[in-house]
Amino acid sequence: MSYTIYPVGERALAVQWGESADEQTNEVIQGIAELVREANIPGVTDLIPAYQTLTLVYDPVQVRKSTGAPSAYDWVHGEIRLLLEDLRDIPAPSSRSIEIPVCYDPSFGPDQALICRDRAVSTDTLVSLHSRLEYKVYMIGFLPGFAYMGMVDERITSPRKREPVMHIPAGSVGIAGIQTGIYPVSSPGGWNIIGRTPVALFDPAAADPVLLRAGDRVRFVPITLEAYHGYTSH
Amino acid sequence: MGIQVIKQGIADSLQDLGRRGYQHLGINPGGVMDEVACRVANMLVGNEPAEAVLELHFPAGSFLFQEEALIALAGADFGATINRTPIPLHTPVVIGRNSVLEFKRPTRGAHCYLAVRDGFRAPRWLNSYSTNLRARVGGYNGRILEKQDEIPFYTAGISPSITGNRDMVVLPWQADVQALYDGGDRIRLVEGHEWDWLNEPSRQLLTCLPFTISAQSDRMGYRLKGPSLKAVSNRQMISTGVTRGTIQLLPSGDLIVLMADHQSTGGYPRLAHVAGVDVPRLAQYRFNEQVGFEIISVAQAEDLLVSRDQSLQQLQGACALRLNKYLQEYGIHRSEL
Repeated sequence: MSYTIYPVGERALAVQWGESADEQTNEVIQGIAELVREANIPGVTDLIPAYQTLTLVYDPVQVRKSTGAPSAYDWVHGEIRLLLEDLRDIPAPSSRSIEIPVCYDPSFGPDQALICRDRAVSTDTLVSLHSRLEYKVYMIGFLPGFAYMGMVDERITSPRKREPVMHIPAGSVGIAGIQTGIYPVSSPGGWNIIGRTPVALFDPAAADPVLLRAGDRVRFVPITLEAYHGYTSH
Repeated sequence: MGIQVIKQGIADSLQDLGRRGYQHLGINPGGVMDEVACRVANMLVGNEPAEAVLELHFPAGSFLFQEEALIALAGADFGATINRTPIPLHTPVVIGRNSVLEFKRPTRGAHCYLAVRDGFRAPRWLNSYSTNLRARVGGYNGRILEKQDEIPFYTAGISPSITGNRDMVVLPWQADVQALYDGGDRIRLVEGHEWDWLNEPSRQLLTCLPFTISAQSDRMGYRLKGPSLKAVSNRQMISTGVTRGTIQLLPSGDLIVLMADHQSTGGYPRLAHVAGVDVPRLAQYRFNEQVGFEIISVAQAEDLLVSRDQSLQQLQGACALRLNKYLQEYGIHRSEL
């Protein structure tokens, strides 16, 4: 699979595969991100896998100090190219199947009506189409543990709002275009909210503060309002 | 014992050099807006560069010192006083027990840093003291400081006392930070991957005309007001990694520069990136001030960053030497009394 490498300022570089964000490209990126993490390149502080890019954030001062290289960019560029050239088979990314209970009560889904009207579907259809498919986590970004998942059934896709809503509560489940996602913390946001999960997507006190990882497969399980409140009171 | 907030500031928070290694979980690095000032404040009191500091925005809080402490201020000049007597920036100061540190008037810069010898004591979250305001975690209870908050120091007081009955003792040296913020009157940029998405006249405008830092700016990003820039086409971006200093073109034609609390990914074109060496300088611009840009190469930006780090290392060494000598002589002087 062909790729290009380019600088993202002088403190990061990106490896980009192809021109579109398909599932296969994304899986390659997840697999390679794990390899790059294991390679432990000196001075590289963060890896940001996304739909079709893997961004390596590095500290040029640290890279030069630990390698003696005259150019941190050239050195990191060289390391990543070497790693990619030596690649025989791209390892399958680790993937877990996770079920997330979601309450689709209208009180938790302020944008249900809008989607139902625009897409001419009933609320029941919206819920069943949303909870029927298994989604893949393409990337984590925006907020701690915010998973960008796809692909939503084309009958209920709905564009992101032009003006973001100031306060979306934690646990809100939304749709933006062909993507679906869950707000792990309350935040302003532009996704169309159709339900809410009682599950904590982000728990700063936990050893593993973030529930979902890129590569995970997620299924939403509809629950009643009673079950939602029962779950939260556990 | 440590400091107590007796008047709340607008956005004072505990920060350090940031939280590295968690962006793949959507947890951004955060940390101080002006890394240079944070490092200078820390080195003046003999700390490691990554020790926790208070980041102050004007109007800043007022702080009661419950015990004697060696402190330093760096970055913005907010007209700091101890018990109403002005104190200098970039200078180690021993502040007496029950003295009050206040900030009267913002004369220069936007972010002021307060360091205390051995640092502020707070639980570290994911290896950092930085406050993540959006996730409400890290720093001091995951939020900005409020009246009555008390932040303890790692080490208690100074023994034997240096101030005695005095409000303070200003140590007789000052760090020269001029060279650390050098770079002329423009902020230097490296072209971004989507630089070519701008049409030619817009590319000219970006480097020829000044932009105004909007009052809608915050720790997440600086919004720039200026000539509306036009993309060649309305191609859609697929979300990708961004960094501190990334300049994105918003659909409105406005620009946003991502700052300390930026998201790890973004879906707007990355026109350019502020060179790391100039991020601290940009962080000291105030709302409604004008900023101009010029383009440099990645290699130049990297060299500038490395050479500034060398200057910081040298200054750190010089500060440590002066401070150790002072404390040693003070100890000898005391024992002879």
